[in-house]
Amino acid sequence: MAERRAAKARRRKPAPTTFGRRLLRRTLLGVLVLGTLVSVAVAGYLFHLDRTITRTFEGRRWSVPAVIYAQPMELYPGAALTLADVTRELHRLGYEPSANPSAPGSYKRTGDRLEIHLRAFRFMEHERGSQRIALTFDGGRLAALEDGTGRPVPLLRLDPATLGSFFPSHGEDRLVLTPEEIPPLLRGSLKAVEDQNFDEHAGFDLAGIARAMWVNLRAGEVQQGGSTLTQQLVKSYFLDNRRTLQRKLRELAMAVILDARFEKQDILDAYINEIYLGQDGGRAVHGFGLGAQFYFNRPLQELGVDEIATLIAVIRGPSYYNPFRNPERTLARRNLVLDKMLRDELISAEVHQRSRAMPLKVVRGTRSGGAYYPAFMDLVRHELRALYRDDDLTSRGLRIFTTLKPDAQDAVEAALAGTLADLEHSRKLPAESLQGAVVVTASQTGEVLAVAGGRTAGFQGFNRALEARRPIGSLIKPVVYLTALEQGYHLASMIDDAPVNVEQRGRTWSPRNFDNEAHGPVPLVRGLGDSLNLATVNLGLALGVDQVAQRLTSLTGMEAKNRYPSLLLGAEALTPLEVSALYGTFASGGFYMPPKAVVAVLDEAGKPLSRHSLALEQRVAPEVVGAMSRGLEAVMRWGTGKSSRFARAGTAGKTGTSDDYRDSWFAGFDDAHLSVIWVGADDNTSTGLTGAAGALKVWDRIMTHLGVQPLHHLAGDDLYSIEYSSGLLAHESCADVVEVPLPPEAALRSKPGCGINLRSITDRLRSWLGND
Amino acid sequence: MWYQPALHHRPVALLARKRLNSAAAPALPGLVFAALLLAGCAAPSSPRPRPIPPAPPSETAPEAPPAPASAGPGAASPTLALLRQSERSADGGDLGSAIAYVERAIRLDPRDGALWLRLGRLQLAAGRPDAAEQMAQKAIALAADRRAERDGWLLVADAREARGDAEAAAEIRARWRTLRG
Repeated sequence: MAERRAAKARRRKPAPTTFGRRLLRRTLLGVLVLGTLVSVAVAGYLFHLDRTITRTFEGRRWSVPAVIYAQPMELYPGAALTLADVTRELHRLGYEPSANPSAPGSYKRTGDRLEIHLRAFRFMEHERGSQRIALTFDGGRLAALEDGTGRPVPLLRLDPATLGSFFPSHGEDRLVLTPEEIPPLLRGSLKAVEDQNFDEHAGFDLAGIARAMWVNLRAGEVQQGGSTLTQQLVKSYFLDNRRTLQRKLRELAMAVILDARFEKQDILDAYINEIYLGQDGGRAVHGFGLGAQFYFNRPLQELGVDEIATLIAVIRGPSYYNPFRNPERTLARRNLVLDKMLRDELISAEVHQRSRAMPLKVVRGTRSGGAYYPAFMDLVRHELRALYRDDDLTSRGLRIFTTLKPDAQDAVEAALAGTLADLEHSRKLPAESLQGAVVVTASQTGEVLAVAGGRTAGFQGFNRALEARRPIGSLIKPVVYLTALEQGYHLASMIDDAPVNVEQRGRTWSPRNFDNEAHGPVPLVRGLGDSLNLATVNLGLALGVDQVAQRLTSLTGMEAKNRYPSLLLGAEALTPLEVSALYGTFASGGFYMPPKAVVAVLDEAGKPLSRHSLALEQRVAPEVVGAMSRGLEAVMRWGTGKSSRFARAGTAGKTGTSDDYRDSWFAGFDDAHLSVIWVGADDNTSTGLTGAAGALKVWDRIMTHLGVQPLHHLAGDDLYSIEYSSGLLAHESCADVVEVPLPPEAALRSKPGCGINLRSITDRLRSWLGND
Repeated sequence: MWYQPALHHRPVALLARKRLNSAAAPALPGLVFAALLLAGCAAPSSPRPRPIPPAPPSETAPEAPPAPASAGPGAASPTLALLRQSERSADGGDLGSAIAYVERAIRLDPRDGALWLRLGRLQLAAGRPDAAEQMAQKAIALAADRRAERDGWLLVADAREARGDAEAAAEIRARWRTLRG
């Protein structure tokens, strides 16, 4: 230590000249070292930024949520479509009426004739180019379909409606535009309005900042931003919203790097796809592609100059310049944008003048939040869960084709909301106390055409169609009767509607009929039709509760949780969707079809990732299901469904009511549609509604819109007319008869004084002859 | 009935990287330039061509070919047009599209057993005999006449054979041969 101190002391007094030189040298060295260190640090930081930017922009694609399409409307001569049906669909698709439909996305109506200029659309099987077609209507149907040259076309579909998209939980949704899909006017105008020196600057623009400051100072408020488009892009893509100096410098550096690395137009196109354009409930609308759909319900390419100007106006402050909430403010800024378009000679004076005179023209969808059909979207998500990760659905730009029919969906929503409100009114129930759920499928394919998860359309919440598991009451009875038919009973077999006491879980269970009476011996068809509890329990006990439970499982794959006799009266909880699977088997002639919502999933390039083909499995023999169908028709004609306006229109169905009127159910079908409806209260209190008083009313209203297509019976049944109440052979002139298929060995008595149906005898004779 | 989805990560570049050459460099502030040079050394420096998005299968032809003028009224039926499209796809080896066309026809006329039969034939060709047999059963249930019924059963036989049950297949064929005569 002492030595060192001495050495130091020695150095402290060098000659003045050498001291000065040394100090200089040391300072220089220090500065050099420090400078090098700083440079390396800054370079390292920039290197890091550069890596971040290139990786993000180059390696990754846009995070594009999957888009979900409805079933497209099929046009063909003879289709049961009115001009109003097609016009409504065109409106849904954002087609514009026009005096001369010269551009895609427009149509013209002249009397019974509709000329449509179809947009191009990439379907699953092929790409359909944009083309002109003409439709001629005659009464309630489409009479002729021609192409642009007047040649008849056998079949064409409209583009499918977009149902929504699976945007991720942070809410970013977008429709990415390819460079070809971006109108040059948009690029030019963005530069004119947001960044005049875009083509020259290196990512930042000192002149622009100065000009903005000058303008803002003079105006006394922020009218212009000094950020270049590149900076705005960086800000939106990489950075959060804090306004700190550090962040600003980072933004600047990144913008410079971005500008050095990438072509100007690519940066501009990225901006066009990235920029935030508004909020729609839980989803953030990003990019001009989705912006055009959100504000105008049309693709960007179809927008007029004034509409493009509106979108550009919104960028500056999507909430401040919200065209829905602040139309006047937005209109003023749109006109400013139009002025700048004129200034930069992007539009002519004439177009400028015409565009300035236009109103805003924004259209707000009746549904909001991006999940326009939340109940159906749930179903789609559910169906795809096994095949796709959430990330695939929210970011990979998948295109999902589904089975939903928008007009059926509209009808279902209106029928449910309207009927529930009417019921509350007529039964003096508190407003909004009732809830409901509906599933409508195509009866021969199991494809889901409409779903309502609650009475409020478009409301994303508890989806009762998929999640509300409620006791199904008498909806279970067809399983009991099916088991009977398969064990040798027929619809005219007599069963005993007599009091019964059963030991169940250590207690005595004594079911009662709805009218508290016992009706004695009744034919099977009446037990089902009148939904007689005692007859059904007696029948079920004779068959064995386990037999019935097993049949439910073999029919639907569902395990009955309740293995006690009360299962026979529906003390088993199912969701409306599960009930739909059960009744689908009856509606389709014995084929089980899991209700399905997805047709195919395509990747961004249009390549199918998965095709979801029709699937069915025969689970009931044709002759048994034929009898079952007759029985369910008797329910409508003579039984608990007879209050329906379509009771005698060739429909089949079953009502269901759970204990204390907590659940009101109806499952019904005609030749085309199967509907399952539940009505009840969310808190599981009694509503006082039977299946017929509640759910059936909803069905009536749905079918009024969809139109009934009478059930089509398969050939081969030998039919006999029997009296509904007694099961005796009878003629329809003197009894309430129901036509039922009977096995040849069935021995029936005739109703005294009521001659048996002649047709039955000839049929029977024919069948004897035929069997030999 | 599910096809296995093939999810391949197929990155599509958002922006094509600009060729970094000395001509662009002088415009940059020096430090950034230095950083870029550093970055250039570390990152793959070869310029990448702009990726070409794969072209979707494009058809400019109308969706369904117009019926020949000489054909009868039935020839213009929408389901028949779809069946023709389906055949064309199947001939081209695209069974997926062929199936999709028939399913579209079934949506229009689900009571036409011949459509279900065709769908079953395609399912069999696609290697799904179980599905094919169920479609055949549906066709049989909807069969309008004995001939249609027989066609259904012959598909059942083919499906059984494809599953390795030659005996059952032969038995069904024999039964329908005798009944036909």
